[in-house]
Amino acid sequence: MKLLLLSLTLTLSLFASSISFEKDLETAKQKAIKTDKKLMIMYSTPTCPECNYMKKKVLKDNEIVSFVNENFVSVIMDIKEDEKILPYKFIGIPTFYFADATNMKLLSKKIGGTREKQFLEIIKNVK
Amino acid sequence: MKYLLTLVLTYLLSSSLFAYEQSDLDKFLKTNDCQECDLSAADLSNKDFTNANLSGSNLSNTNLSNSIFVKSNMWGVDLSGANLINTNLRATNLTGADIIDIDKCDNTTFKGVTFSNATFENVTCTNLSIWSARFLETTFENTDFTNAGGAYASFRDVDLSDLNIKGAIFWNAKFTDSIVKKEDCDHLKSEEAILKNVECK
Repeated sequence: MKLLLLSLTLTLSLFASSISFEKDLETAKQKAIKTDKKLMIMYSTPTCPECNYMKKKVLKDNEIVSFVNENFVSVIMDIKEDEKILPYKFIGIPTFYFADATNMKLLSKKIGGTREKQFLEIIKNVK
Repeated sequence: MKYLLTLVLTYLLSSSLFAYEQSDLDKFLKTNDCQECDLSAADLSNKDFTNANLSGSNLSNTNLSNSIFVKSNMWGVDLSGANLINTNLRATNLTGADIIDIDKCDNTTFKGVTFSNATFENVTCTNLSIWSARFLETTFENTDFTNAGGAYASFRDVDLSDLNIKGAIFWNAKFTDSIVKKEDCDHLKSEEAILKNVECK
């Protein structure tokens, strides 16, 4: 029964209409280590138009949602509220950091907003 | 001899016409505030001028590359021929600015900038950032915003007939009381831009 529920949850998350963002970086790290996935950290603020374009348009794209949920554990960090616990320096927002959760080694990053096709290419090339 | 003299005179004349006032430059570098100053052809690159006040100043042929002018007042500045490569002008007031003859504007950030009554003429930029910028009665002549990022930007009372917006991101951008080329109207609709009283011709 437990296995069935787990499979169902996993299947649903893969076909979910939005990316499952964790509530904070620590939770995301633990989950990424546990599930052997990479971390996707988005630096943002609620008033940043470029960030909102990414959140409301690009990160809603079905193919991106599926790929991100399947390969990453994601978290959004507010550069003002989370100022003291930001793991990486930044020069602008939005910035997406892709990292190895075990040691927080940065695998790649993307600064600024972009179209769905380019973003998909970026996340597929995170190694 | 005459030829040499003409050359020297031409050089001297052009230098005096296009050079900045040293006292203005000194004042600006010291105070971050220089209104109606002559900073033409000055080198203001690679510096942080956040919250600067340069209203009414002459910045023609000035090098602003890699510099930061976030939240600055640049009302009525003359940016003719300026170098804006990697310049960050986020949330700056460029009301009434002359943005003319500019081809050095790769990766320029105009995020949230106010361009009311500004003039764009002979401007070709790549990877331009105009997210949430406001264009009110702005004039565009031979201007190229190809592939710019401009979601949430707003355009009111503008004629976009001579503005190239091919491939630009205009998701949720607002176009009101404006004139847009037919093919650009199709592009804007596919971008889910909001068009109100827009003439597509």
